[in-house]
Amino acid sequence: MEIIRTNEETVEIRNIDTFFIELLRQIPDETDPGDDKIARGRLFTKPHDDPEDELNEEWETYVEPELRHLFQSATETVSQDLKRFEKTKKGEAGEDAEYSLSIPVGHIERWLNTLNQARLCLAMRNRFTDEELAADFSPIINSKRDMQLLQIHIYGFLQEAFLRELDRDAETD
Amino acid sequence: MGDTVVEKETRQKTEFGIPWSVVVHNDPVNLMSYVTMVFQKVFGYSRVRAEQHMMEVHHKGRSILWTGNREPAEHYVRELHGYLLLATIEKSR
Repeated sequence: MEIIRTNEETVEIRNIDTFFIELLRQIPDETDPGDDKIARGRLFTKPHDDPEDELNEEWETYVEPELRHLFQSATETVSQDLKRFEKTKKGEAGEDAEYSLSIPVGHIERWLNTLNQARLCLAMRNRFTDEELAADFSPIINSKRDMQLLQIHIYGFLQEAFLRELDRDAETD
Repeated sequence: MGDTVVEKETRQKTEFGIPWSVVVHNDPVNLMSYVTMVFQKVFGYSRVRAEQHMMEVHHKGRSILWTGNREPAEHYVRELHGYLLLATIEKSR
């Protein structure tokens, strides 16, 4: 899988095999904290350290709905973009098929936000420790938990690539 | 009931008069490059200044990004929460 800037308006993820296509398609679903209070609490954090401060209550009433709308809107954009996979190589004689995905540069910030939601929810739902998150990635995958740590790393790789594109734009402005 | 309202108004007036700090806390999930980008966008900081704050968050667990009146401080925290950073406001010491 590689990420290429095809023109001023478009970034393309190329050489996506069936494994990565599945990981990409899971991004919107992974942003849902579900019933996990810790994951939900991480997406909607309190603005004041003192739990008794009235600002926390006001925040829940007035700011959280705005943030929820912002996050849902970003996720919806990503979901729409993910409907545009194009097959670039037929899978023949045991070879994997390959796909590409074009993403408008104007959507990159929404992708960054959605990937962040997904990474935070994955980390919180699995209760990954700081050490697990900071450790070099292990190629051994024996459980769903190992797989979800891999997802966090891959989504982070995508974020890094998108950030480089934003940097490049800022430098040329 | 009337006393409560007066007390609340007095408290708000007092709190809006003192400086407040916008604090960003360490988070093992957010990428360092992402945090730097957010500081640049939200506060208009240069890359160098944004990276200094990001490194302070990384090494010391927190960094004060901005200090001033409460209303803009709340605005900055709302912006930072929109980027999913761990941010709070606190009275400036």
